[in-house]
This record gives sequence, C-alpha cells and structure tokens, in this order.
Amino acid sequence: MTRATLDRLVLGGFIVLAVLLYISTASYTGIAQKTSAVYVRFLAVSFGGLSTVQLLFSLRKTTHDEPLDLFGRAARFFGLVAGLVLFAVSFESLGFFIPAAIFIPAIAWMLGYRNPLVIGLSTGAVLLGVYLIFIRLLSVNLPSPAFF
Amino acid sequence: MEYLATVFTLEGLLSVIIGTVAGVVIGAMPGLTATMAVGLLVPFTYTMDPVMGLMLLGGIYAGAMYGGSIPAILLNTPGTPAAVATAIEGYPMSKQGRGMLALKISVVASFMGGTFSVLVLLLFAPFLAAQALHFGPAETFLLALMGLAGIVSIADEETSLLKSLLAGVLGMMIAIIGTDAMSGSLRYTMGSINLIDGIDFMPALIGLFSMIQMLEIAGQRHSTQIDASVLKQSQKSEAMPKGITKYMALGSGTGTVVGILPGEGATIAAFLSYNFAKRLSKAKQMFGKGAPEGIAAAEAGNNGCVGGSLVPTLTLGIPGNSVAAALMGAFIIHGMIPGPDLFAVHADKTYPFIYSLFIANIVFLVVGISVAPYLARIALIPPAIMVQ
Repeated sequence: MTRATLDRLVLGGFIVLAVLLYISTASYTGIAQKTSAVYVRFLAVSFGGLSTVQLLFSLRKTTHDEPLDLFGRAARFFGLVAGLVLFAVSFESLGFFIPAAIFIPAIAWMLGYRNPLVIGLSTGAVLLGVYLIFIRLLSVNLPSPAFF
Repeated sequence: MEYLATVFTLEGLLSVIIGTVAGVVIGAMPGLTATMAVGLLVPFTYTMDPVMGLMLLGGIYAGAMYGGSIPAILLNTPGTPAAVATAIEGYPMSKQGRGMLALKISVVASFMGGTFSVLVLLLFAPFLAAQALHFGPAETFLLALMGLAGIVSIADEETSLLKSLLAGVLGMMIAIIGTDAMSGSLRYTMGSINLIDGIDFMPALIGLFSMIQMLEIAGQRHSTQIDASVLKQSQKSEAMPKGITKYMALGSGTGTVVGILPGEGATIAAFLSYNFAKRLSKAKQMFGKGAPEGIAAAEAGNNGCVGGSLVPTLTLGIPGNSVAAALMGAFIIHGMIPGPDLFAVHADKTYPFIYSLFIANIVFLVVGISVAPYLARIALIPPAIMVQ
C-alpha cells in the first residue's frame, strides 16, 4: 500500500464520518439543542467538504509513491492493537494492575525483546512507579478488580 | 531586602528546590499536569508555614512547565499539553542525534521566559491587571479565533493547508463529545459516564502522540534506532545556534502577555509563540523537521505564562489559567484573599513568593543543564522496552 492510497482511504473514512455526524443532528430535540445542531452541522459540512476537496486533489496527482512500511511486521502491529484493546476492555473487570502486569511483558516479548530480567525489572518498575505516584502520593483512584 | 532574606533561609531554599525538582519530575510524566500536582498538594501545605507552602507550590508550577518538554523532545510524548509545540521540533532533533542540544535550548528558553514573566509580575502586576479587566467575551472570542488561525501557519509543503484545516476541524469535532454547554444534554457519549465531561485533553494527547509512536515502532520492518556514535558525538559540544535569543525573547513576551489574559493557558501561549517564530524565521522549511527556533519560542512561551498568569490571579483574584486557580486556592486557605491587600497587608508573604519564582527558574536551569546528557541517552533504549 502506498502513502497516496492510505491517504485516500482515510479521506474516504472522513467523508463517511462527516455524513454520519450531519445525519445524527436530526435527533437533536428542543430549541437549545436545535441551536447547537447548527454548529455540529457546520463542523460536519466543513469536515466533509475539506475531505472531499483533499480527496479530489489526491486523485488528480499521479506521482508514483514508494510502498509504505507501515505493516512490515503485520503480526506485531495488529497484535499490539489487539493487546491495547484487550488491555482497555479488561479494566472494568480486572482493574488496572492485573492487566498491566500481563500486558507489559507480553508486549515486550511480542516486539522481540527476550531478556526476562530486563522485562521483569521494567514491568515491576512501571507498576511500582504507578502505585507510588498515583495511589500513594496523589491519591488517584485507579480502576480496581470487580471481584475485590 | 527582608523579603529576599525570607527566601534565602535554609527552609525557604529547600522548599523551592524540592518543589521545583518535584515539578520537573511531575511535568516529565505524561498524564501528570502542573494543575493536578498543585491542586492535590494544596491541602498538604495547610499545616506548613504559608510562605514555605506557597514557595513549594510555586516551584512545582515553574518546574512542571519546563519538565513537560523533556519527554516531548526525547519520546515525542508531551509531558504537559503546553509542550505539544516543543515535540513538533524537539523529537525530529532527537532522531537526528541532537537531543541534547534540543534539551539545552528548551531549558534555557524556559528559564528566559520564566524569569522575564516573573520580572513583569514583580514590576507591573497592578497596572497590567487593570488592563486585563478590559478583556471581555468579545476579546476572548477574537483570541480563540487567532489561535485557530494559527493552524494555517503549521501547514508546510508536506502537510498542505487543507490537511492542517482538516486536523483543526477534527479537533473541534472531538470537542463536541460530552455535555452540550447550551442545552445540558449529552452528545455522543454512547452511554458512558466517562465521556460526560468530554474527552479530556491529556488522554487525547497521549493517544495521538504516544500510541502512534508505539504502533509505528511495532509495525516497522526495520527499527529506526538512533546511532549511538552520532549521539555521543553530539553530546560533546554543540553550541547554541546563533540568533536563538531573538526567538526566546519573542516567546517570553508572547507567553507573558497571553498568561496575563484570564483563562488563556500555556498551550495557547506556546503555539502562538511557535507560529510567530515560524513566520519570523528565515529557515521556514526547517520547521517540522527539527528547527531549534521553534523549541526556543514555544518553551519561552509556555514558561512565560507562569509569571503572566499570576498577574490577574494575585491582583484581581481572576486566575490566569487552571494552575493559577489551584495556586489561588492555596493563598485563600492561608487567609490571603487575592487583591490589593496581597501587596500591602500580606506583602511579607507575597513578595517572598514572587522572589522564590526567580530561584525556581535558576533551580530548573541547573537541573536541566546537568541532567541533559543523561536524559538524551533515553533515545538509545530498545524500542520494545520504550513501548512498555
């Protein structure tokens, strides 16, 4: 996939997003909401319009781009995306520390790092740092496990 | 002189040093902002001597504003929202093995911006506060418009004007998520209580900068690590670029003025300063690719806000920004109501606090200069560990 193709795909997505945003304002009820709907429609039209113009410019350009090295290691890339999603989703039931203790070393391993001592130490340091700074010092309420 | 003597006691100096170093560390941690740190530590100063407590908080404010630039330059992850403009130029410099120079420029510019703004606070506070009172909704609207117009100057040959405008509108679209300010109804929250207040600036920033960085590292077939020898070489000696002082002065002035205006934060100050620097620079094509002028202006701009934001806070009781609002809370819990009385009845506490901000600037300058060579080596950490 070239840079230009990726740009066009993203711009196409933007146009769809703008249309959906515009349509969503139909459900705004009441006088006050109708007023803010005008603003949201303005944003949708601006976004969709700018995306369309940029897409047209992009289609007119006929330069030959080098293929992007974006997914050179697709397994790693999508593995990381999946890991991030799982990490975020598990917050509700497992809290912060349990998923973090699994996610951090798993990601390091997936990215090709194999030194267990460094992985263990850096994971421990991150978790300890979060605990000391956020919970002990700043009294921030991090998500805790649902069963706790 | 007696006010200065209060600062130069062992207790006073320790308060400033501890506060500033803690501020640098807090600012350097993405997700922790100066507002959060000052706000959370205000109750702890309740039992302290008022002057020492205020000096500690002032140190945190000044230190955190500088600290935000460290991860922005080294990791492309701004420690505070005000360091976004710094990341645009600082990270490319780090990738070129010039991270140490970028850190040096950042700390010197922060020092210059911070010192200038505190000097303005000391000399002109009552007069400038009276001017700031004339700044009504119409002027605030115009300033917001000016900030949005700044998007245009970020555009260059690679990122076309259209793309810059698209990014701006996308940002405005993200801001419509949450409670509608006019009707109070919820918009695009998808039933999540976490989205009622909208998408907070800091998570959006971390998502846009750090996550992209992580995914880029993960997806690359060949990792783009910095050559250690290049980094070593650049650590030896790279003098400050000629004419950089001009951009620091520009940022200092812009940051101080923006800071004085109620409600305008360091992020706007940094971006405005950055845009002015880009317009003024003869090497416009270097912006976005590692222009030291951009770092100098942005960092002087956000630290210029420190003294500037305290002008309306101390003289009128109108906080210049959110950190100043938290600081105002500290003044109030110590029985010092912002206003003219602060400079007359409570002068023995207010002036030592202002003088201590000069010391805080010197402290982070020394810390920044001395640890920069070690910090620059962060760029050599293996990507797998960095992603953690």
